[in-house]
Amino acid sequence: MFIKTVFIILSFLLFILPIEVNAVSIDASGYWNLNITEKDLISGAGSELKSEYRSVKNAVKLSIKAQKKWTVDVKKMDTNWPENFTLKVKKHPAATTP
Amino acid sequence: MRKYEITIIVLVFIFGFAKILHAGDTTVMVGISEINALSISDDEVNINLRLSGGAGSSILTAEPNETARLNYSHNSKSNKRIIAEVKTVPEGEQDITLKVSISGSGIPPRSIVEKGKPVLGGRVVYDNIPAGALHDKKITYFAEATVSGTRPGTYTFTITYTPRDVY
Repeated sequence: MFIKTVFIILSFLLFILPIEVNAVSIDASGYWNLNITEKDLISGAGSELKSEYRSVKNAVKLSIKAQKKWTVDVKKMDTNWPENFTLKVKKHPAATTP
Repeated sequence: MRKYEITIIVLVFIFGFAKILHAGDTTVMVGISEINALSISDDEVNINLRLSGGAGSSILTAEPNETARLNYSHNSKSNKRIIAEVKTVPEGEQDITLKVSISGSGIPPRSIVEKGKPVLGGRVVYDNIPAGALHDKKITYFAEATVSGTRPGTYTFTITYTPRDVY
């Protein structure tokens, strides 16, 4: 009976503990749709397309709630993405961090 | 006891990991439209035909004109070719033969007007162009006529350059 009671208490603590320790939430809102056209030729017909494109600075907003310090990892999951097309992401300088 | 243990452990894992694996998704979509941009510099090219052989000869010729330039960009999967075509005949009696050649094409001068009449469907003046850009390609026009077939005057030919897929 004693063992059973201890097990129940420990289990309850284990159930609560992860929630308290890892109480972090992240929400990403926004998107970037880029459409490259003839207008992006460097100097019209006979020239190449611009090699770099930038979204507006606040295209995507991350809202993070955490009780401890945190870091954000970015991972890209491709759908029909050309190999020679590089995507970079940069935090807005004015964004607040821990 | 066994069932109880398992239930508790499963719950701990479900709720524990649900809080550990945080993620927020967003999308970046990059679309590239079909690019098929062709431009020709020098809207107007003037060629003055003269009697090249002097009195007693019958052929009117001129120095080839090399002032126009072709610029072209495309991103098609299939290679492209450029066709030069004259669609309308200028008024007046003439038997002008007009040829065109573009530098780098490897194609010799092609007639787009023969003895005063446009060549139907035009002629390929640049072939097998892979995706990319042709920059500042020199266009050379050659013209000739005969004394007997061409009356004095100014004859204007409008030449249309059209890119088409190579099949």
